[in-house]
Amino acid sequence: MEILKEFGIKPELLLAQIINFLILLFILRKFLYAPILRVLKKRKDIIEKSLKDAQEIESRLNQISLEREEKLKQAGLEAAVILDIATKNSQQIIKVAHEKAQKDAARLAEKTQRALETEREKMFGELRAKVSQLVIMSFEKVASKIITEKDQKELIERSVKELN
Amino acid sequence: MLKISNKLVDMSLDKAGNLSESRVVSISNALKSLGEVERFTILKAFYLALVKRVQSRVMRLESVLEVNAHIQETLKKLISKSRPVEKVVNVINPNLLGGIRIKVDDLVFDTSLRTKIDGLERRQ
Repeated sequence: MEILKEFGIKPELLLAQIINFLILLFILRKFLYAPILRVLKKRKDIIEKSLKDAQEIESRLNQISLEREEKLKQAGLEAAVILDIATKNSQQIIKVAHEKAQKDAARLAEKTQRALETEREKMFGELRAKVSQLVIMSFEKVASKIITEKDQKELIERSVKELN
Repeated sequence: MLKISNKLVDMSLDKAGNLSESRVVSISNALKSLGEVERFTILKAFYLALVKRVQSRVMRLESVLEVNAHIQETLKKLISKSRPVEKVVNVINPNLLGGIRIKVDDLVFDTSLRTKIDGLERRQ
C-alpha cells in the first residue's frame, strides 16, 4: 500500500479502472471479437474447402487427362487395325476389280474378234454371191449364143440316157 | 365327195386304163336321176377329178428346141415305167437354156441348164 501511495496510485481508482477494463473487455468480446472470429472462421472454412475442391479438381483433371491419353492410345491402336484391314480390303478390291477388268477386256476383245470374223464372212459371202450372180448372168446372156443346135440335141440325148 | 368323184373317174376308165367316152356319158346320164343340187355338185366334182386324171396322164416335155417324135416316144416309154402316160405335149421354153424338163402328175424330171444354174445360185 505504501508503494502504491509513493507512485501516486489510488487503490479505489485503480479498482474502478480495472472494473471499467473488464466491462470493456466483456463488451468487446461479446459484440466485436466473436462476430469477427466467426467471420474469420467462416472464411477459413471456405478457403479450406476451396483448396480441397481445387485439389480434387486437379486430381480429377489428371485422371481425365490420363484416361484421355489411354483412350487416345486405344483409339490409335484401333485406327491402325482398321486402317490395316481397310488397306488389305482395298488391295483385295483393287485386285478383284483388276482381274474383272482383264476378263471383261478379254471377253470384249473376243466378242469383237468374233463380230469382225462374222462380218468378214458375211462380206465375203455377199461378194461371192454377187460375183456368182454376175457370172451366171453373163453365162445366161451368152448361153443362147454359144450353145448350138447340135449342143441342144446332145443335151437332150444325154437327158434321155440319164433318165434311162 | 372326193371318194365318190374318184370312184366315178375309175368307172370311166376301160380295162386298159384309158378314158372311155361312152362310160363318161353313161355316168353323166345316170346322175340325171338325182336332184338338181346333188347332181350339180357331184357332176362338178366328177368333171374336176376327170380333168385332173386326164392331166395327170399328160407328159409335159419342155425344151429349147422341138424334140423329135422318136425321142418323145422313148421318153414316154421311160416315164411310163413309173407313171401312166397317155399323151406327150412338147412345150418350147427358151428360158431353159438347154436340156429338158418333164412333168407328169407329181413327177418332175429336170436336166435343164436353167435348173442347174439356179441350183448353183442357191448354193452361194
